[in-house]
Amino acid sequence: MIRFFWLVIAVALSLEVKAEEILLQGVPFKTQSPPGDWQQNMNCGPTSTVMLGSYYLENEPSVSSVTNLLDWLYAKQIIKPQTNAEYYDGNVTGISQLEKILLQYFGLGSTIRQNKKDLSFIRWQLLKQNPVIVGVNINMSPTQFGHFMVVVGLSETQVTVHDPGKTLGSYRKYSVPQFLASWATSNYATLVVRSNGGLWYPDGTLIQPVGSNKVYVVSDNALLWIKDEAVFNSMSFDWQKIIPVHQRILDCLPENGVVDWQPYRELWQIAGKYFLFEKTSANTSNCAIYQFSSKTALDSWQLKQQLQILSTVPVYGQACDQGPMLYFHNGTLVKSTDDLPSFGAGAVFVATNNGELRPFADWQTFVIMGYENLPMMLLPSSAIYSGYKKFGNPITLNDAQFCLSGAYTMQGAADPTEVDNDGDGFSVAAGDCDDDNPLINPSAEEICDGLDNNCNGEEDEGLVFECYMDCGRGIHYCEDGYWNGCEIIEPVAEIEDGIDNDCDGLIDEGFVIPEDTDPLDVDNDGDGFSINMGDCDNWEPTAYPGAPELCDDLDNDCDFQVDEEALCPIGTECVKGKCQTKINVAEITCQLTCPTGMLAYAWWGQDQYMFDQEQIEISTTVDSLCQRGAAWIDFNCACDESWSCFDWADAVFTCNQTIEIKPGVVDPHGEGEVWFTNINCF
Amino acid sequence: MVSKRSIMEATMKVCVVLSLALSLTACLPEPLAVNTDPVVDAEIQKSEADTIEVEPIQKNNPEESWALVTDSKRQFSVPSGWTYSTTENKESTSRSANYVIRVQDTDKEVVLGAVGLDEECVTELNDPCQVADDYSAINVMVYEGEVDFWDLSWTDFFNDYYPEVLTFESFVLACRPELNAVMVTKTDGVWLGQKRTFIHSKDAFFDITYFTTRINEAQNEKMFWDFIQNFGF
Repeated sequence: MIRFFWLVIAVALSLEVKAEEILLQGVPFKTQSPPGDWQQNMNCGPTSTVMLGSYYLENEPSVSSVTNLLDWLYAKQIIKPQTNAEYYDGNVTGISQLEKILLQYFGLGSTIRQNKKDLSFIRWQLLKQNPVIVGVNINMSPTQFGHFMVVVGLSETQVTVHDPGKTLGSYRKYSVPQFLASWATSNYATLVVRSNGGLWYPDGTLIQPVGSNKVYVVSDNALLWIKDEAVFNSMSFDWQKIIPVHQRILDCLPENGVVDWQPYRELWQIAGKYFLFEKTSANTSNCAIYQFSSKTALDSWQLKQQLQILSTVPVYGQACDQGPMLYFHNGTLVKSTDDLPSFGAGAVFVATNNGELRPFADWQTFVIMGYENLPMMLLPSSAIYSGYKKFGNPITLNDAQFCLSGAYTMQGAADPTEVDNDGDGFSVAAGDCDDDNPLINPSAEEICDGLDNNCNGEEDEGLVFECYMDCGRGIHYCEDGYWNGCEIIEPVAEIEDGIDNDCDGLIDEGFVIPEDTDPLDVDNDGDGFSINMGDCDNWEPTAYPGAPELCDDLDNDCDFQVDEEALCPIGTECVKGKCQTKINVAEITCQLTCPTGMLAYAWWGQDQYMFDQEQIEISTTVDSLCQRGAAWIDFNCACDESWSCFDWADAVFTCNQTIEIKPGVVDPHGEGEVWFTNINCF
Repeated sequence: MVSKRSIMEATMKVCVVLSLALSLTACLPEPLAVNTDPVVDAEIQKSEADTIEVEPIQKNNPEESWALVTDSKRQFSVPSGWTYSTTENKESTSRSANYVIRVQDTDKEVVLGAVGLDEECVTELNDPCQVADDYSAINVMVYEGEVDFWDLSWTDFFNDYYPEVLTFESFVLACRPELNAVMVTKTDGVWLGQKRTFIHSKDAFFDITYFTTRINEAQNEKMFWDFIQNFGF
């Protein structure tokens, strides 16, 4: 690992974070009206706080959420009703009044309020899963009247907000420049609840769910409630190390007990070594003695007891159990001040499992988990080595959010313009002009179909080729989605041969044809036969009496039969004027398997259809498969019969024929397709 | 944004103080038709495209004097004792007014909209901000130049600049029947102002909004209509 590890990581990740769309889902939306009607309704500020309150306290906002809040605001004289408006139309509010609501009415613990042009602050708050109240204007127009909105998403180019001032105000997007211009009119008024995005923390971490007065310590992937302040202090916990988190952490780390004991402790220094003497209470005789691995380790415990310098273990301690060696206290943040092999200078670790130091995979994880505001021990590597037992695996964002459900999905998949719907490698944001068709994207080849295949804004452009015919040199070009044939631009010279050499519709023009010439005696195609000589197609040189029958959909030998006994390469036969491989299988069998618990679906032919739990066996024929003109099967895996979720990519599809599996082209709305590449439908 | 604020009596922008009173009752609006059809709307625009210059204020009541303000952009009249400010929007933000005029009956700070001023609101002397609790104010947002506003219909204008507007109603101002004016009758979004009217004149649209916290709302409202009567559209 290189020196300046953290700096490099921080810079790299800030760039990465900037490039991504962050979209916070799960923030309930509420309009500011009702209560009252839209006219003169000034409830945008209180309604914005209702959205945050409902989000953190995990309830659904309603009209009464706003009216109750307005009653409280009026009762507390934080605002008064407008003179010339309805009672529940609210009134002007400032960001500090909204802060009071969050803290005093909703009890959300702690907030950050600022007037600063800092988009990066909003970005980090969204990464921490915190919606942000901002002072802007109606319609995000800087000349319109002041208005509060809630920022729930941010990308390089767009800001996504919940606008309480509109019925359809959720997830409205505005350009960043427009947002900045509007935000400036409130002097960048910004308000956010102090909370962090981790749903898992290492043992020893102190956490407090937002909206709760309970403080927990993490232990064995569960939470122990620290019963009261006396217990908290007697355990020498540090109030500065409490990390506020979302209440949904309780879904991930269950409450598993209570810390309700106040241990009796003494600190001893004997022969240069440090010991903790501990009893579960002052009255009990059960005791244990633990040795600290070093003075640094002792310091990390932040014990308040006086250090007693002794020459030997006191009598009352001689019968005590001997506990394990004590290393850095769990939950301690340690930062190296010099080079640590494999980690570099400035690497930060959190102590857990009595002496295991776990680094953070990246700066983003460190901040999202809320460690950036916690005190940390700055130590030289030698001191770190004296207090640690081993280095653990880096803590990643996946560790921190391992139990995130879809409702809290953080990264930009929710932005429809950045999703590659057709699986062709391009989203709408990346230039795909038809994200339901995998054959259309910026790297696709332009073909003659009347469509803009390569998304350059033009249809069928540049599709011109030279072509040569008996008539001369021509161009072959695409027009209205169809090839024009070969348009002769340099015709050959017309000669006197009874043939239209230059393809201008005239035969031997410019030459004198004997007036007595019977057209039926003219050999137009130069095959040696005229109509009177039995030529059944006087414009086709391969057709004349006695000619070999070819596979070309023509009657070559003029026996009034087309392609009879036409010769084709081995393994193929003549069908519709072409030598084609014909599959000779009586039965086509396939197996579709979906993940456990999902339903497997398949459709083929005109109306063939099967579904079953997890797996289906399809047995069909070429004729049945070809009823749609080509041989393919649509398939999908669904969570249930109401299709509340589905994903064809979860399926495993096997057949006794060569198949190609791809995203739906014929029906691109989320289904997969199996194409039988060896089967030609006749 | 570039903003300038001026007390009427002190400003150089005040060209003429006219001790003229208004014929107040003559300027009340009369409903014309409920208009939600863009075709009908376009016809109305076409027929009323011509507008007049600012007219002298009639002298009927010497107690109510108005001052004619000639700004670099517009001409309008301000009631005696009221103050005005103008803001030119030089940002390239789309869908916003180019020019905003604020006329109010108090020297204190008036907050229009729902976002209040916090402790950051301090004057140059570092005194607490004096935010008005009781006030009447008229706000004019002028939209011009961003697109060709000459032939823009009301429907298209509202779609682009006020998407929350669902229906609007044409009306005739008795004192200025030539004005192409509408009032919004239904919205699907927050809609501020005790009175609000829109006027389309030549290559500009005007959003004129009246706010008051004063109890005698009706008496103040007449100021709003007289302000429109004497505005140089």
